[in-house]
Amino acid sequence: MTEQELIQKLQSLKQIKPRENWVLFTKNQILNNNIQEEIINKANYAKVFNNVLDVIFSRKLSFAYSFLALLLVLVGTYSFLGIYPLQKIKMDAETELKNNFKIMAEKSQNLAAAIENEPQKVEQAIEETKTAVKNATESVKNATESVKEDPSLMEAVALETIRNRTYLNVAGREDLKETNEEFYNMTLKALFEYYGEKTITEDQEKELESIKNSHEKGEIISIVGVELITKTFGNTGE
Amino acid sequence: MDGNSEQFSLIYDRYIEKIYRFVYLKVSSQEIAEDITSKVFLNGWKSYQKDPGKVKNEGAFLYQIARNIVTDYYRERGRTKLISTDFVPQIADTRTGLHEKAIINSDIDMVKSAMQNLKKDYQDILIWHYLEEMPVAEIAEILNKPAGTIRVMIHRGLKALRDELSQET
Repeated sequence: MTEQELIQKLQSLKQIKPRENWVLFTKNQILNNNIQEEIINKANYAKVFNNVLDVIFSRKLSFAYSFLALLLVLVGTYSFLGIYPLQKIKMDAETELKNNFKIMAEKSQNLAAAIENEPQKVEQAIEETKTAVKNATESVKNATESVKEDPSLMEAVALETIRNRTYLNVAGREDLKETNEEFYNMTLKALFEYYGEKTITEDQEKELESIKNSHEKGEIISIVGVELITKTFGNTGE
Repeated sequence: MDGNSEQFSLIYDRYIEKIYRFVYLKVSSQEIAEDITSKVFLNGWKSYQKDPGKVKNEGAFLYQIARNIVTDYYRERGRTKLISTDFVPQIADTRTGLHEKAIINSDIDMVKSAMQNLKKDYQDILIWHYLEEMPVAEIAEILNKPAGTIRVMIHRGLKALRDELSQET
């Protein structure tokens, strides 16, 4: 056997590849683990704060009143500056939206895995996916309604739709048709609104207009519209 | 997703196939390879979060973790070779002829089993150099050995593989 033949044989091992579902699932699990840790950290901060309060209020009453007064002054100043509420509302809504999309992607993956390997779990996976899609729909709806107060939420909708497009397709089953239709209708509406207001290239503008017209005429359904929009804007990092 | 997650997500996409293949060739079981590969990326992600700047060569970083976890795995198992029911790998094969597939699969099985009889360092070097097209300098960095030594090891590894294959046929 020549060296070249030996190397060729060795290179035939390149055909060994992991299962696609497993790759997606593992990625999601690893990055989700991060979110879980963040939640635990937040819970720990809250615990520390509660412990501090317990210590202070279990001591002298006058000291407790002084501390309370100081706390009120601080909170009042912070609210007056308008920093805390705005940031908090923005953060909460955006985090909730991202989480809902993430959970929807995870449940869609679980469903795909169940269809492939564990038929007995399919029914439960469908129910979980339905709930996740409904929650994501609700987040998109909230983002659309509060677009005037916080346009960045619509940006998050667009980014999450593009980021999760692989999983969104996985969820395109007949059992989920009704739930999915509502999600896609709402998302398409949000995407039209977001990209309609945003500065985009001339080509993108033409493409967006054409998708809008086709959808209005009933030539394409919402899921196709969302897919076309993610393709148009997905490669630009938007 | 924050900046770190975004970055690590890209690293994951770039290396998942390579690390899986590397691990699979050492453990010969889809189930165990999946388990170990998940641990590689989870450990990688935890270290990356602490100090992303510390990771200068992502490939070297992940392969090093993979080598350690595979070593731990064999240490725990007392170097017992486990052949599970899912021994046959998932092969992405675009050809349709059954006969062709049979030839390819038997070729792969043969090389795979020959590889498993090689010394650990030879396995690593041949996988990195010929499968993942890693330059000698990078392998030298991972193994912390001079480039000249790596070249000699590649040559010896190929010779050892040829001997193994000729014994099998």
